[in-house]
Amino acid sequence: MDSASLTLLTFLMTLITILILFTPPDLLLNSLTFSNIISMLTVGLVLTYLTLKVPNFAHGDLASIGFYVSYALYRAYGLNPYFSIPVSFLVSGAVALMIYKAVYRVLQRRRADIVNLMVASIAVDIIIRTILYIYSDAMREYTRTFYRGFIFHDVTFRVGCYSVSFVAIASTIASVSMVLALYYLLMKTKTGIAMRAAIENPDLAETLGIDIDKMYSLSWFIAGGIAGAAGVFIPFRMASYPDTGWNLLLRMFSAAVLGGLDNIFGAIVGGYMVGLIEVLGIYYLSKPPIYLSSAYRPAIPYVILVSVLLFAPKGVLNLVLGRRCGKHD
Amino acid sequence: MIDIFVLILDFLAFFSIYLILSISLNLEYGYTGIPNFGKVLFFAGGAFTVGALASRIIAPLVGVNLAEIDFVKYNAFLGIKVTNFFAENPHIALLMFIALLALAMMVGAILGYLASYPAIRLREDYLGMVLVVSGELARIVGKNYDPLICGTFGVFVPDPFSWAGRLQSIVRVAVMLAIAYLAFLTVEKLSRSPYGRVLRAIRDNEVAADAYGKNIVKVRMQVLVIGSALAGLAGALYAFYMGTVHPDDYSPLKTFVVWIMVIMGGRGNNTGAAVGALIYLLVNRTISFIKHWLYAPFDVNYLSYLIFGAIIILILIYKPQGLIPEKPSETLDFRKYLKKTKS
Amino acid sequence: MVLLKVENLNSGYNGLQVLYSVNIEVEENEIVAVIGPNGSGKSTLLKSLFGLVTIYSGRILFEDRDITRLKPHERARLGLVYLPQVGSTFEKLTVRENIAMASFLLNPSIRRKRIENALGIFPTVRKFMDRKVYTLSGGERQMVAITMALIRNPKLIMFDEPTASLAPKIAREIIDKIALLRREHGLSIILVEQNTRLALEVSDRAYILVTGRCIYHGESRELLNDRDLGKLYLGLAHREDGFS
Repeated sequence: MDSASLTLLTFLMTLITILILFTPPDLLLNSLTFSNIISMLTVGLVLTYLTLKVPNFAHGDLASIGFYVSYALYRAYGLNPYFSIPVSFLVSGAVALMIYKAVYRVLQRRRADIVNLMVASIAVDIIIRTILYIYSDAMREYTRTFYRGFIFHDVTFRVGCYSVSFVAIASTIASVSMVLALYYLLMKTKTGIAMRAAIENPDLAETLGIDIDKMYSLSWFIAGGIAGAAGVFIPFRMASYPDTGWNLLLRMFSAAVLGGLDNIFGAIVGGYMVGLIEVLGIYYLSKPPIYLSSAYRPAIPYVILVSVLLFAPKGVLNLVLGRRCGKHD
Repeated sequence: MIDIFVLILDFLAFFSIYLILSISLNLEYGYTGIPNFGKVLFFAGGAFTVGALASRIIAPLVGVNLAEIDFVKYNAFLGIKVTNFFAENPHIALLMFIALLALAMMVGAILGYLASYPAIRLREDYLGMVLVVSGELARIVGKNYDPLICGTFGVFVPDPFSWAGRLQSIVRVAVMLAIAYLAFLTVEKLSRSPYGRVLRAIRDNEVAADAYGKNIVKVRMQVLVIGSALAGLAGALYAFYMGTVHPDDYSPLKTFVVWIMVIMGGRGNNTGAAVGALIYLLVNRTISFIKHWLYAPFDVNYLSYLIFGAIIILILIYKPQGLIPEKPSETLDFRKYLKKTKS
Repeated sequence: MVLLKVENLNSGYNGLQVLYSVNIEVEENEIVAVIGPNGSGKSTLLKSLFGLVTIYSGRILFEDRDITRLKPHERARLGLVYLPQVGSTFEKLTVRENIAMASFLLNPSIRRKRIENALGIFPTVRKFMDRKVYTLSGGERQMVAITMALIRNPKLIMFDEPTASLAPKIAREIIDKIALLRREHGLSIILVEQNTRLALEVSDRAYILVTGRCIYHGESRELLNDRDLGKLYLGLAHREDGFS
């Protein structure tokens, strides 16, 4: 890594550490939820990107589906959202699988070019989002309760003189479990290794007898499932609408690019970095003398995205580790 | 009777706007291979220019001191005053109209120039990501920076055709169609010229074009600037036509709509772009029409997005070249060529 | 016994024809070299045998069975292995993981044995079991690729320029290993090679492909000593077939 980048990176890391020390701990802890969510979502995004070589613009919507399932179950059966996480996982996973089979696999077989795949990706996103819009409006008519802009009420603890929400703990547990589970799957099981093989070199994997389609399908299901599960945590922190998932795409792209689009570990790290920088950034920028309105929050991940693409296109992680070709895991 | 007439005029107005947008995207993507997924940004640039300035620059002429009033609260009031002023002063109205159109095109061009920096250097998938999220920028800035277009309230745009009295609507649409036609002719001419060949060369085989000494970076930048200027023009026309500029109107869904038109119509030819715009509007208007007969617990406009989303996917799968495929070479006149070789 | 028989093969990439009426035979336990100038279709021939390009007409028979229409992995299952110039290993995975993938379809009972046998032929591979393949040198990568091929207990291995971009000494080692596969393990091998000398030294028979046509085939030893080999190679001379 060249000295200019090294100095810049050291400077940034020091800055961030100092800022962390001066930030109120409960703000940090509660922002952990945000970072957990982004991290989980980014992992799924990168996973599907690895199979498709094209970003899935509908990935955010898979999270939206996750929390709508949760909300619907809550409204219908009074089920605590935390308990509906497995259901959201399954539903979003199934939807992701469907998208893969109905749209992307077909296009890939016809050797569609990248731009066409991206347009299809956007089309899928619009279809799903529209369905969610329709669903939320219809449900509001039939159940006479609001289906947009809802939040989940949470349990809060007092730790010393700070208050902490349970979702911070729950989402952290979920995120850590996901990381461990993925690591185990991809590194220690035959299926996981076959998935990595199929993603890296589908032709070779096929001749070795690996069912590429099954591997890709599994990747999509897992990516969608994680997104759905992560989505359940969202209404605990913000009012949720059909396009809330879509709005988070910006953070996901930033995180993915920051970590280097080619590896899952980078996605995890990138997610936490983006989440942290955004929360710290808006906290400090909203103070004097800048008084930046929190409506401009998206500016932070946007700046990260553009900066990384202009200065370190292979991702900061790859830059730090001195990888030049980005061909690593 | 009058209802149908109004419908047709409205259809033609939107057709002219979408035609300009469609051929601008076709120029960028169809001819040059630049996937502009942030089209709405440049469209909004033009629209916001009109929204922010139209009332303001005429304010002194109607005796309003901008420094004294709260524009956000009084923009509608001011706007109506300006419209009435235009009714008496057609020359000033038209002057302002043309001036703002030109300014909108410039703003679009500048935004296009800024966007060309990443567009040239990034791989398509990265570019797609950046442009899509950039498309949201317009909406966010417009919504939160009140001085621009009054934030969440939106801004009133005065009517530059109020002097035409009862013929207002017709004159307005006629002017829009004329402008759209001019734009179409310009882009057609461009694409049939040697410059058009360069664009296609870059799209089809960048390395070869580079080897022939074509400055790819410069050409791409030029195309984006032109395309964005056109988008700005369309945005300005849209703002004037709607009579209001509201930030939520400028979402990435608009970008998607333009892509629908280009993909349906077929990339690489302007007629295709026009056909795509036509089909989109027809289907869209039909769905709105049906709204009156269809009761549904939701906004029927949503159906339009569902249908088009499905159509796009189907077209991408079965007929990716679109309804009107590109002809191998628009710039060569085969008959002339054949005659020459025969002799 | 004839293991592979190619009859009047015409193939290419979609609309672009590359091979014209090619006839090839490979017997059991022999090394057949396919040599010729660049662009003559040598790689395309291997790809055709494996089912990766468009076949316009002709037949491919493997053990008297018509495999012309079979998919690549179906041919792999019959004992046909194709080792392309690039992409014959999973570079991001470790050697151990690559071997696990190579033995993916095998029953646990024979998996151990096959792996041990393959590693017996390439003992050096044991040294880097836990290293990722992209960290290995060209020659080491080649050995991993061949090990992976051997695990599948092939009857016929097709090598596409195995010594390309290898240092002469390493190239020699690989070629020696290939000779060993035929000598001690009874495998059949088709060797496409740019290094004509090495190819003719190690093979039994050779076919010369020039611009998609097979213009000569004969005993490798004879070809090696033939003064007109260069001219043959470039298509400037013709020979009567050594075989009828």
